[in-house]
Amino acid sequence: MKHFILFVTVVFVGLFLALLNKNDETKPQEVKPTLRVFGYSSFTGQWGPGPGLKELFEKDCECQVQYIEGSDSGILLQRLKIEGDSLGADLVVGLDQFDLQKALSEQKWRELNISGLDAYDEVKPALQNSYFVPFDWGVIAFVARKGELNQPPRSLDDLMEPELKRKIAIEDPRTSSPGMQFLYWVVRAKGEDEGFKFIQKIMDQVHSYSPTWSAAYGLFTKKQAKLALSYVTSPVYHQVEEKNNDYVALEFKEGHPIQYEFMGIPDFCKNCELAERFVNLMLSDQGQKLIMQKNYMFPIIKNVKEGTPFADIPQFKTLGDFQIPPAQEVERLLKKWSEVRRGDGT
Amino acid sequence: MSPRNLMRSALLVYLVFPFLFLLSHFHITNWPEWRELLWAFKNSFLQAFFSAVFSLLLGTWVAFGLISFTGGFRRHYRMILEILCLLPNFLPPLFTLLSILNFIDPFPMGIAGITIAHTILNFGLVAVMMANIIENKIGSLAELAYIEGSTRWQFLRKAFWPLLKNDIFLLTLFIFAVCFGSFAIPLIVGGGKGTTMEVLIYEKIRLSSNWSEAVVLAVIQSAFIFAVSFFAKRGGAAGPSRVVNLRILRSFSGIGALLLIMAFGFLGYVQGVVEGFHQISAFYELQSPLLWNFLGSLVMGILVGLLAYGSLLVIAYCWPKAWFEKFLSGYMAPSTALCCFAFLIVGTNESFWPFIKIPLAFNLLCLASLHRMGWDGVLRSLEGQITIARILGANSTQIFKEVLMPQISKRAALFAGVAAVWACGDYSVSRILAHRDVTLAMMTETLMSGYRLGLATVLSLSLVACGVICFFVMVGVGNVFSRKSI
Repeated sequence: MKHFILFVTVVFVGLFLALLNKNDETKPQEVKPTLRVFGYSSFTGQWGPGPGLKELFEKDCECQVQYIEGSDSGILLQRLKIEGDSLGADLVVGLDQFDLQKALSEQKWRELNISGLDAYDEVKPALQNSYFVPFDWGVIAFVARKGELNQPPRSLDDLMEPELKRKIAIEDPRTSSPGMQFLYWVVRAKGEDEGFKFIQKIMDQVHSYSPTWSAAYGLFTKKQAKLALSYVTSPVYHQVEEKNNDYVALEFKEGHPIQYEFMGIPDFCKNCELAERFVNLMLSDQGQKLIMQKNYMFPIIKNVKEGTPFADIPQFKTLGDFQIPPAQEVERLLKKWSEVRRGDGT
Repeated sequence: MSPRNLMRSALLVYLVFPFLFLLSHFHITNWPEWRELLWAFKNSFLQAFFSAVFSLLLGTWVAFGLISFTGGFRRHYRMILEILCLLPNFLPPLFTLLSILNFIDPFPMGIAGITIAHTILNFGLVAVMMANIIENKIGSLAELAYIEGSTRWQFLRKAFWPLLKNDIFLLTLFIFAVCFGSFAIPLIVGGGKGTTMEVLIYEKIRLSSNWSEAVVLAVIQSAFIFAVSFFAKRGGAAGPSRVVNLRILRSFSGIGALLLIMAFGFLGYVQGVVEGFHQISAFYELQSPLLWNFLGSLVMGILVGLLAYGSLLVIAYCWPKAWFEKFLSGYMAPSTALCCFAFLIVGTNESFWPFIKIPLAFNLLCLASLHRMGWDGVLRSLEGQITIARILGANSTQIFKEVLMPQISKRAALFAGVAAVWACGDYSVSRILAHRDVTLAMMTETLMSGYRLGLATVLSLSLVACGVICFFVMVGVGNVFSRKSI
């Protein structure tokens, strides 16, 4: 008995220590400052731009980069609020425009001094903010498979076509950023009253409101849905990684919403200067290229996408002016959406 | 205070810790709207009720099939069929759900959709548990009834239902509680009209950062399950274990139903795996993270297994005590998000702490399920022996070491193995409590959130492998401890 317990304990503790040692590789081996970047999982994960950016940064920063994963942008904010400076984040990556107001009201942020960027016109309004800077952007659009639809929709109203009944995969605006973008898109394009009437009508067309983009897109790639609310850049993923040209983003006459992903430095940062340098790296040509290729989103800097499949993506008409919606406004729209979804509204 | 009382109190504090902590941390400033609360409660109740009833009906039918395979080489078929039954519990819910959506097209969203998904997820577990109940509790009687010439219908009416109705109620209550607290399925297929208490809790946290209302909702939810369990009666005691002839109940059509559901249900999954294999070269450059995350899953699974094994043995050591039994049968953990945030706020989250906090949180979330799954039944069947040992003068420690441990170690390890399997497939707990991908399940989720559903599906196979390893490690631990105790 004793020998058995000893054997099992030794083996298990060995495995555990090996694992801890592996996880602690990200900690400074010598006395080097550590930049702690708090981001969502698909940014910091193996397939995201995080590891590449870390490698680039560590080459000449005399420091170590440590990522802290926070699931998605909603959870990022909750954790920032709850854990505060005990989280030890020097830089927060991955907030969208709907999170900004909330982030500003719940945390203090350092002002960023970003100038001289040769940014796209669509991005310039988003650069006006003093506390957050976008590092990529995407045009929200419906993605379809070529030849699957007799009449691919060309406007929001076309989504009501009978052949799309229960065949549209959309994200839930309460839990997903693209879902919120869709709600905002409809309200902006049609006005609030008409927009919510449209939302009510489209409930019958929607296959499901998925909690995350990945679930909605999974339904689409599994052919459960004929359309998925995603990004103009989504077909590029299939083209590059799967050598599959069957996917296409559909342009709507109303113009498309833009999703920006922002980063900001919280006021409680410990290695603030390193955080600023990391921000600069993410906005450099090299950083932008990496983010574009790994995140499948547009770079904010011009000329980065030249010579890549992203350059061939047709330019869609967008909704235009950038707004940071007040947190109360976002909450009010979501509450109204929930009522319509339950069958209580309009 | 005696050691048993101390341990009872410690376990109770551990289980109610998230409630106590959150209630003290987030002061209750406002209550949820009654209309909203009643509506979510109604949805939770309806979907859980129908899910439990349909899981029970389908599960019992499949159980009649499973009991056809007893003794001799048929036991091996039985084991394969039981693994098939439990397969939906091995995989992250999204995979199972995508597979279900693949073969029910168009899929009805709302309460009906949640019920279908829950039924398909749980009927296998019910089947395995029901088959065990039949064999252990009315096996000998079924054999006798068959010899005496009773018909199946007569046996079902005169023996099966009267003798097993309390067990059936407890089993239904177990599935009801699982479905009542389910989160991922109602969120995906519930639609707006199927918003449940769990989804409402999540909405409160995520949308309006309204933690106090979220905590109140969680307390109401748990209090309801506690109240329902309070009226549950004990099941009958198990008879001596031997291979019995169950011809009177067995039905091969149950196996047909199981195979049919699995074939259709998992066709989509198999397709996903095949598609994913085309991109398998992407894993080449990630051999190291794959290996480490596999190790992370193993460690996490085994830690959860050991913790569950220990917790179940602590429950056994503290058994019997009326209030303690009532508490355990009625206890329902708070929602996953609330529980994890409670652990997140306490202390640091650096270094090895995620490896402590994740198993602690996961054990807390699944202990009530393990208890209701049959651990309470195991302990109740030994109460007679405990009483006799006590009358003969044995103290609590002697009773535990000499009487209970040799008999319960294997079963405790079996339940702990199930917890380890669940832990291997989980990413919701670790996503909140870990700072980076430390397990295969987290890696799978990261892949899914970056277009790579095919690769994620392939990777989920290794989750199954990891779960099987953890399960057998726990079974081994149980075997060794039971042998060495004698």
